[in-house]
Amino acid sequence: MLKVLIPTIMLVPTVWLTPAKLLWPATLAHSLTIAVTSFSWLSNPCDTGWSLMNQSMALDPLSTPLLVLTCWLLPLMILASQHHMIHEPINRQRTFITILTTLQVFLILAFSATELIFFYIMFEATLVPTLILITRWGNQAERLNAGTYFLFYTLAGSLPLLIALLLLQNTTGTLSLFILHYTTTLPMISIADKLWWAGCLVAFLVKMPLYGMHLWLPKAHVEAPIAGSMILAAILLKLGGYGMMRVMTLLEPLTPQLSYPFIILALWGVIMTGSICLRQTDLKSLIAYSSVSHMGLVAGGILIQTPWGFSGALILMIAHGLTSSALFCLANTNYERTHTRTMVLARGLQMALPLMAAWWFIASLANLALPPLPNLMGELMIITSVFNWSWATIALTGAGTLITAGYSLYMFLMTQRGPLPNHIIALDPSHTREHLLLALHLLPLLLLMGKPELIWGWTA
Amino acid sequence: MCLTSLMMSSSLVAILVLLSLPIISTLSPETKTPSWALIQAKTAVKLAFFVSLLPLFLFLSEGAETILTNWNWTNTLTFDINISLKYDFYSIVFTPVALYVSWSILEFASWYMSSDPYMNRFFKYLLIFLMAMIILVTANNLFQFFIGWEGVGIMSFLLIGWWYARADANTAALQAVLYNRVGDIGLIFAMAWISMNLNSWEMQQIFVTAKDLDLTYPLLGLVVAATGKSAQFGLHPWLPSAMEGPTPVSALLHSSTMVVAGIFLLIRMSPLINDYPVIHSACLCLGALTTLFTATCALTQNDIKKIIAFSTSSQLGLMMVCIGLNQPQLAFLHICTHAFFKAMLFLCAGSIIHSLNDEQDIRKMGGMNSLTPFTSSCFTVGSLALTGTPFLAGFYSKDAIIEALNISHLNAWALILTLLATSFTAVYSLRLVYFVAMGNPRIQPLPPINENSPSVTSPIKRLAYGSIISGLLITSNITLPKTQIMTMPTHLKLAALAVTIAGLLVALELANLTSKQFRPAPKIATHHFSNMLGFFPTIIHRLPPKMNLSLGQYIASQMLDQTWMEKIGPKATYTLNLPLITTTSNAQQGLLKATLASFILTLALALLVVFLK
Repeated sequence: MLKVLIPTIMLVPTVWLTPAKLLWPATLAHSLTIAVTSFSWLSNPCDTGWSLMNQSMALDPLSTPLLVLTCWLLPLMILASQHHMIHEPINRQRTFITILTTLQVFLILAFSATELIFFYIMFEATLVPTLILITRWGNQAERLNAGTYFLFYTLAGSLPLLIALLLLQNTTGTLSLFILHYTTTLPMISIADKLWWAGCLVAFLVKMPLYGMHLWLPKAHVEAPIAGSMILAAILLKLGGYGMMRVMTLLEPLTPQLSYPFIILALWGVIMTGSICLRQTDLKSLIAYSSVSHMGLVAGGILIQTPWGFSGALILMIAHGLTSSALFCLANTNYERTHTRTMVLARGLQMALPLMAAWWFIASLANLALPPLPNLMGELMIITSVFNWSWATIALTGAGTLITAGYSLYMFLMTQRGPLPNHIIALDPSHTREHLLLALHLLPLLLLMGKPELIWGWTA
Repeated sequence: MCLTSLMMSSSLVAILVLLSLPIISTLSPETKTPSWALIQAKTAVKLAFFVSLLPLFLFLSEGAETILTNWNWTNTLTFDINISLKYDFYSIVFTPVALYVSWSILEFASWYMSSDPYMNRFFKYLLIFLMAMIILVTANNLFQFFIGWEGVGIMSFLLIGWWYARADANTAALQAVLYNRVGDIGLIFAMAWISMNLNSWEMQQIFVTAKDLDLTYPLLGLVVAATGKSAQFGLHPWLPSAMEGPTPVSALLHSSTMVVAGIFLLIRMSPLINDYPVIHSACLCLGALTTLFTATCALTQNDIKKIIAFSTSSQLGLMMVCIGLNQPQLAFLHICTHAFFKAMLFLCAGSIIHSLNDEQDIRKMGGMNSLTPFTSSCFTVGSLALTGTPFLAGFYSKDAIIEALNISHLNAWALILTLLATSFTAVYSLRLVYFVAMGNPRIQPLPPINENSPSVTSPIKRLAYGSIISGLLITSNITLPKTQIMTMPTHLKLAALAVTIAGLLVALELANLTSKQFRPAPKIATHHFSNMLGFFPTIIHRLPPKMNLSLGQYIASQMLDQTWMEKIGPKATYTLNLPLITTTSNAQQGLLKATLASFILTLALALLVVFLK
């Protein structure tokens, strides 16, 4: 654990001590080395259970893929931000990378925490760098509003979690994930117990976000700089899913009745947010809403609490992390050239940037879950497990897949196909850096097809 | 491993390797010459075809079938997903047919697309499509099948949208994907049901374990899937729209290979359908409705490709009828023979379209018989095979189907519809030949007519041989899994021929009438119905999308997201706290009396509490 955590912390001195000329290459190389080191976690020696433990951190099949994804994303964020940061003074560039690094440190600690309260603290701690990222490095004035929404939605959801965790600590005497499974579970009798149940989950449902509590997400995505959008879509939303899976197993004996409304709301959200995507004119907002839609499916998979549901949720989280991050990068390459997020203003780009169109195509296909991409494996497993609960869900999930295909291809056709509009007269050619960035997003996704067990979670 | 199965499995792998080699060569940095397509891509398919003959011959001589499970892909708890290839009667026979047809089409495409700057990319798309199709046909596992299924769907998206600067092409491409997705919901439903109840996606395990369960719903899901992919009534409009793609694409994807995938799925699953009369009735009615409806639409179209597309759809309906009759092997036979003559019809159409300077309207053709004699004679042969003229390819499958239909006691309504559609086949085929090949030329002056390139003649020639003898060849060499109906009364035996001839006669009469005017104002309501495709796209392409888009805009986005959720969430916090804040802050405006009064009041209260305690 520490062999990744300590180098990540040491990235901060690297950032501040490297000569200005080498700042971006050096941090990129450093973070990429960390990411490659983290791959060794994937070969988990013991089949189930924990590995690589120290006093407060450990790995299990659930957290490993998310940790590796976290480590993988930092070099990508650095790659993606290079262009829009280049005009800033050097110290601000250093501060920016420092913030990204801090975020990564918090995320590693959150995903590897073995103590729930430690997880909680790190979960909250990630808010600070993200908030700075959105409100300091966003572009428009609306970023302040977006930051407020982001902070207060998450806080309002997660403060009850603190109380719920303290109550759990008082009752069972421990919050360690190792032994919490063996303690007696809380009775589920009074309304207060049910409130406790809700308190345990709402924080994560807001973070996911569940439909109805998602207003902060499109705002945050749209206003954040590219690195912010990437990490939000790829990791921070998954923090919610991860936390939910961790807590879910503690809420036994489960009153399934309690989670049914949430499942239905989540699946209903898939359709509603998908329909919103069909009418979006703003590229980033479209991708953000598509994240809400996919995370609704994840929420459904987790709440259904079957092994298939959990597996599917984890697979979809990883696959969606890479896909949506790739889509945000693509949207950003458009934005850096045309300086607009409005889709009608940047059409027919296949004419101008043909190789980019190939990346767009692959990313759109991944978004609409083409077999055998991991996205499909995840979606199929979730659809199957909620179908197993109730047949009627196939109407929602099926319509969801249809709408997802609709808006993914709508996005692809709008941005890439058709004639190039006349006002686009001078476009920068696409840089090797951008192609590398996209390749590093999509290659892992394609390679995961070969050995999907890596992200299968507990049921591998 | 015995030699036969070793040879079969290795030749299957060899086919996939041969097809993927030209695609892999993309990775080399050298620029491809324009002849790359003809030399490498076409040769790869050609070689693959010859390799695929090997298992076919082994099958013919020894009846060898093999299933190859070689890699445990992944498993969840007890649920395995393997890479497992099935080389049985259906895939052994279909693979050479598909490869033979593709070989011809690829050669033709090298001529048809020769002015396209991205011709090599076009060939790569076709090769990827072909691989997806072979994966689909040889899949022994529903997941693998799904890969092929979506693979051909997405390649169809790319190929229909080949001329991507045209809005029509993009719309048609999107339409194809969306209609197919509706079908996919059925497949996903069936897969979910099967994995939950049978705990396996392997075909033979499904067949074995499904005996005691009621499979009606998952089978209906499969029928929905086939409806989407094979353009059956309800989900059919994408197929004629797909004609926006280049003609070789129409020839390969939208007539001979991809569109039969849905029927193929039902053929694969036919051991399950066996015991469910409900599913049979559903397929029968669906097929009969499709075949009649699309044949009706074909009657009055003027675009040469649209007519052929509708006839494809009509033939797909006929195949669906076979599934409904519980005669999947006849459906399969029709898939094989249909592939030859329909691909040839499209290639001839492509040749004519190019010769007439990209003119697709049959009213502006005519007299091609003397201008392009080879193409138009092959075109006529194809049309004859399509109508089921005795001893051409279509006859062997179509006649058997109509016979099986005639002696079945399932559904007289479906029978009548299908017979009507059969006679319509003769009508629109004659109309096509009449307008394109016969009569006087109505073409633009100075058309670049040239059909002498070997890349045009040899593929059409090869397919013409196929259209003439493939029926005989296939039926005399293979034993169908089910016994064919051998005895029946004469009038039933001759019914198929009789309706076809009747259709032909009616068509001839109609053709005579085209040049005469009987009434001052003709009654054209029926013509409108047929010409406007039964008003189906007008309604379905407007109403549901409009409802969904309005839902997205007005309800989901404006009403819920931007109004209610804001109102009860963030805005509510603000409005609820505001009075409190204003009151407290207004109370502290530095007025000495007020401050002192409140101080004394609270002090008095506090003292009271302390002393009274």
